[in-house]
Amino acid sequence: MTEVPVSFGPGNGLMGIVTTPEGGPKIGCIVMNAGVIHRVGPHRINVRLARALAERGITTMRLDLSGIGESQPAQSTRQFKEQSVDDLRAAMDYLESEYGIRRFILIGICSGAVNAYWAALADARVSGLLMFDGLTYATKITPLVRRWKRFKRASWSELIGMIGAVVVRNTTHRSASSVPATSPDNPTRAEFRTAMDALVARSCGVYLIYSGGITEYHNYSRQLRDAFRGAAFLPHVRYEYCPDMDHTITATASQRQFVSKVENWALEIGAATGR
Amino acid sequence: MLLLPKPSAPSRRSQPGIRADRRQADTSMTPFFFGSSERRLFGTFHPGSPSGAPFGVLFCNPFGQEAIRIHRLYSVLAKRLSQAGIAVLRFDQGGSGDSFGDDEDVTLEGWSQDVATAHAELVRRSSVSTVTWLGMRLGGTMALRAVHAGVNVKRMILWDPVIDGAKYWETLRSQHARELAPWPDVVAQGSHEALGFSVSPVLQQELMTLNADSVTLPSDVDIRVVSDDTHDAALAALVRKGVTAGKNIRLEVAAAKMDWVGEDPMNNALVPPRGLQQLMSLVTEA
Repeated sequence: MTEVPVSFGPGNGLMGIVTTPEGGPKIGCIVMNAGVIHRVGPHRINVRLARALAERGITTMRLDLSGIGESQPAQSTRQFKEQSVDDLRAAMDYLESEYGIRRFILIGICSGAVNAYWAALADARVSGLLMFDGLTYATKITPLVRRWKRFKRASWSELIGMIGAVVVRNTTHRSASSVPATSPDNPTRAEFRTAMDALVARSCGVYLIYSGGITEYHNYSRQLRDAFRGAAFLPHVRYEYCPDMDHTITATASQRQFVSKVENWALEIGAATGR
Repeated sequence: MLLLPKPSAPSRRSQPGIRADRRQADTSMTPFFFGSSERRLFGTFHPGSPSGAPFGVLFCNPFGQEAIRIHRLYSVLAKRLSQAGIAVLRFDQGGSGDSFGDDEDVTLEGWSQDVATAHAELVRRSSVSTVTWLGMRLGGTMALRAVHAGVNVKRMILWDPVIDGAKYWETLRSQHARELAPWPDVVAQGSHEALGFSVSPVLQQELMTLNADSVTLPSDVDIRVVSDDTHDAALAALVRKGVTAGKNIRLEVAAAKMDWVGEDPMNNALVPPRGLQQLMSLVTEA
């Protein structure tokens, strides 16, 4: 296994580190920033992933998007979503020209998952998309489960506070909703369904993992299936709710579990695309 | 779903005060691996200018989550120093960041050797004769352990260095438990880890024996200790010990309070402007 820092993209402003295995696989993987964390990822998970994947024969780049980590801010005035897609396509172009890789797996955590989603839709070279705590769609059950989980975890003083809040809300006739809004850039339910159908139709593997750390947005093991009941894409995507993991995969046991899940899935994608 | 904050639109034009010449400094930054084949370290070199300062600056990272938090501050500071003509080497110690190795392999002893390796690399790349070491938290502690008679260190800037190792470990563990409060079983099962990183029994043992008495202060090095808690007993003991022994050591009040481990950067600055300014001054003042 070797690792090389590389610069590419417009003005060579983008930076990534490429981990290559012995031999020459034909599928590559790109892991990217979660929020503003540089390319190593939350708790260095991207480094752990890149090396584990390279051990299994998959070349992996951990990428800094424009303006994050060691990558320079972009020269353009494009919005972050469009710029992220450009950056990811530039990374794929680089891996294709330098390593001869033509099929890619994109792995994103949190905002990285959303960036990976847009890039997968924009570029047919993406054969696998893994979104960890990416886009969420609530059902009627979601707020009930959220309240129940909050109630179960609450201390006595918090319970008293909750009862007080209900009393205040009822007397002031305020909205009962306390769910923070997700990004307005995020796709609607219909758009997400169409996008998943399109990815499945072109045989792009999709793996959606949700942690137990985003209870406000996703909080039970059938939520995605309930939210998209009857959708054609559902039987063709891998979907998993991991209530024992937190949003940034803090526990080292969770990290090992996550890396193992990704490795196995990536190998399946590699096998399906003929590597 | 964005619990981790999304960066703002990454256009250079959206950043006030960035001059055209900054791009040159950015593009001249060099990421690379160095060190022995058994211990490959990742570094980012920011060159100085031929007419710039005759010294370079070596940045030493803290441990674990603190190193992730500090990355942006170090990056911005390195670019500013490079623009001011001062060569900088940032690097990840073995088993951290992009360097090879796992967190289970991290020891203070190993990291101290990495500082010496990085120091030599900075001198080789920049041709400077002396180097200022900047270390935050455990990076500062490590710098104190690494400095010895053969290394030409001009100044050491130690921001909240960890002097009471047992207290530090206790703090990390309580922050870890707080972070994973909804998963008490997970916390109980992982007794050798803190905030996403394994802590080996060797490192734990090194932390348990770390205190003001066990730290040796170098002679002939200008040591600036910076903290927002100048009443911290261990720091005060270290400085008192240095002053009594006639060392060139000074304790300064930090211009900004750092949140070392928070995972919610929306509520605390990754690059506090006053902290950045203080660091620039500490490096550049005569």
